[in-house]
Amino acid sequence: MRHLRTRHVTLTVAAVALIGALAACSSGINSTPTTGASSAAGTATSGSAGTTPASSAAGGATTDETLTMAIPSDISNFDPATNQLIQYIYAIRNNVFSTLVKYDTNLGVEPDLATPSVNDDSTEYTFALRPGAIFQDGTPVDAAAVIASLKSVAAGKSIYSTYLSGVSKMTAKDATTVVVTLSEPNAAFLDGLVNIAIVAPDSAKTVGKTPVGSGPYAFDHATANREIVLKRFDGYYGNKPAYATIDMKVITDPQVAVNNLYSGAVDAVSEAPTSVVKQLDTGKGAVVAPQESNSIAMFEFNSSGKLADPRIRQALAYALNKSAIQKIAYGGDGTITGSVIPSGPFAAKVDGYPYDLDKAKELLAAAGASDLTLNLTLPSGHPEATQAAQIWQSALGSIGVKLSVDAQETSVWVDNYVKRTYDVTFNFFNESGDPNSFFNTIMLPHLKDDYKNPTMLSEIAEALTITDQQKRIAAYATLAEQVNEDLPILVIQTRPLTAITSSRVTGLQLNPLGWLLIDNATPAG
Amino acid sequence: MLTAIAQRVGRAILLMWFVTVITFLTLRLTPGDPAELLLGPAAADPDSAALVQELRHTLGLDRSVVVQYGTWIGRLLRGDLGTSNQSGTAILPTVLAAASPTVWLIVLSLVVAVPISVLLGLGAARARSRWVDATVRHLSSLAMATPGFWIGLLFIIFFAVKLGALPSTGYTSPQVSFGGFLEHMILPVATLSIYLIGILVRFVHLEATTALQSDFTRTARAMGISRGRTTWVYTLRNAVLPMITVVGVQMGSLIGGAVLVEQVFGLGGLGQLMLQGVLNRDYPTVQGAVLFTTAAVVLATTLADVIRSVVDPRIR
Repeated sequence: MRHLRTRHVTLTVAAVALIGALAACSSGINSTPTTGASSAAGTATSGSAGTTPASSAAGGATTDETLTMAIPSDISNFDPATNQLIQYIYAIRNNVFSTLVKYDTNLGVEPDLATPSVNDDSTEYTFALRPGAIFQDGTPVDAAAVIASLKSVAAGKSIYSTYLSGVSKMTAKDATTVVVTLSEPNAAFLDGLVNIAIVAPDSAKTVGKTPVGSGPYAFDHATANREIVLKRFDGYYGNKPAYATIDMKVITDPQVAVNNLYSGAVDAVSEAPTSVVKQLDTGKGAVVAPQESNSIAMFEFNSSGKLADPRIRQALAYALNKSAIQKIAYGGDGTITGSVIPSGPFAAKVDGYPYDLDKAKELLAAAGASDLTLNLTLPSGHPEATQAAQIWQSALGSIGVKLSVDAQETSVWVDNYVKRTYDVTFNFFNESGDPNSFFNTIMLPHLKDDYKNPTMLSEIAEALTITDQQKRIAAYATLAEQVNEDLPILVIQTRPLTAITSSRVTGLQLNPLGWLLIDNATPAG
Repeated sequence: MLTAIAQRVGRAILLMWFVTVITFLTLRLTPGDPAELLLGPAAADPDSAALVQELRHTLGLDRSVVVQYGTWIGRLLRGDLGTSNQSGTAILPTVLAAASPTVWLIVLSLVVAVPISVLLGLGAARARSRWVDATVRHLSSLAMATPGFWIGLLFIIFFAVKLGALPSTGYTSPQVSFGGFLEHMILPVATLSIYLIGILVRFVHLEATTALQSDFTRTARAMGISRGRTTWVYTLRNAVLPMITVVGVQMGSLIGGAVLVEQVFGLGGLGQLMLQGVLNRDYPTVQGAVLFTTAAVVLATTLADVIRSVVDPRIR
């Protein structure tokens, strides 16, 4: 049996789009059919036995201070088994709850409540629980509590249950050891666990209203559409965070949030769009951004009907002026790419299609597409999507393709997205260190519906079972090339992810998924 | 008198029932599926269709609209507004908690705006100057036309950011801290009052001008009653009484204005509750909040009519 290393074991949280409200987590343990390869567990295999469970915190002195943070919308459901809102994840789940394993700041997976180890055929994971960890209600985090929590998620109706769908057995070897057996190897298993919070057993029925976990902060109270208050949990097993209280104010308009930052009413704005960041008074606020963004902006095609011929999709790609979009819609930020895996340990370099209207016309003629009229849907509330669509619309108009742009309220957009009632749609996706998140969440629905490609389907399944990290990287690079060539999805660029902090706070960080990390935040001075 | 009140109450109940039907139907006819939203991106996977269906069943959305409405109205008659699709929490306490800042915002705005409007309107009418008349008219038009959202932002920038004198966001219940409550309400109330003054001052000005030119004013002056007393007693009474009805009628738009003001100042009131509910397709929350708001508007207009008929003999 070997212990798992703390670095990148794939993760798979993905914030699908738009769903401004559903910045969801994705991926899934076994929703992808696997080939039954004999070895497994992928990237999480090498070494470093006995890795000390990482402590999450600042390590500095605690204070009685309050960190006041503006969040863009209310959180009404506190159940970590069902809530996929990105602001829920960084505001509540990461602070109130612990998980068996968690991300480091670069999306590597590291121990949290437990140190995992895996058997040789990668089908049995053993989790040695951190001794002395307790929930905020004083009960111990023992094997029975962990198993109860995992079983509750597995039995639920949410995307999180898919992370455990390949689990055939969970047993308590002793009070501090949990053994999880998989029906077949899954390289993304630990990634999935990053998204599964361990809930205090006694609170299982009330967790949606009163969350109780074992994280650094305990839930204090929430007032709908106004604020959510967390208090430092003194029984937390890791380093105690510096702030005694986290007060999250619901401020829906980002410009209003920034004005509140200027006035001192809030210390940080957890999410800030480009338009607001570009007008920031840098004397009063500073931008917080990850070293690299794992969020991609893209157009998804309905690759059936009008766009069944890949040459037409390629023509549309040649007509997309990404430089103009980057400049106008994203204020010059982000990185232009054609890759669905733009960064991270699996980064695949794919250049994509240059802006070339002649080539686009040529391809349309070759495909016999004339008088093409397409409908592009996008979720409202994303001005960058509208700007990107308008730039594309203008270029396509010059080569005889009529593109109608339909900005839809998010719920309507989701409905149309699910039913695939569009020719093209704008979407964005926050991709974890493991590209399985993208292929499982975004590609699989296309592969099962409008974009029939059995080869890619089996390659995605196979990639999940590869144990050798280099081979796995190569497999996903091939997949990224195929996506770019066949274009069921047209990547525009990486999305700039930003938060804003005042000079009253130091140490706030943003990870490549856009999660605001407050573990190391301390009052300035 | 009692018959008139009974009729009014009967009409109010009928109106509220009508609103429940319209709200219920409108929400169901609006595109968007709560189950898909709850499930998130996984809903896009064709294999998740059964899961979406199961979730719809759990939420009771797979039943006919008539059955859904019957279930909801049955619970409503027992005083149960249901639970949120999103959080599973009971709607009634959520609506009541959200109503607190909204109601205070409206009440305080009326307390501020009514006397100011009366003073300005009556004063302008009494001045009998074309310039004053024009100024009042234009300023009230400006006040009505200027978006509350924008005024609120200006207030934040000036009073909170530049001067640091007042808080720019949040709400403190008066039970928790009365000082904190007042501090947090000053800017929102000022913002909403500007809009309200715009409406009322024009109305008072018009009514006062008419009253000042009427026979009873002329008679009072002829009888030797001072100009001041004529204005501030007789004219005032005649100009202000119709305002009761105007305020009642304006209650709907006042709530609409309050929604925007709440948003700017982060008060977390009914407006934000409804907006969030609509975006999340949280049908029970929207239905509960709309019902509460309708009841408030109906109650206000009914009350205005009743008060008017009590204090103004001509109405009876």
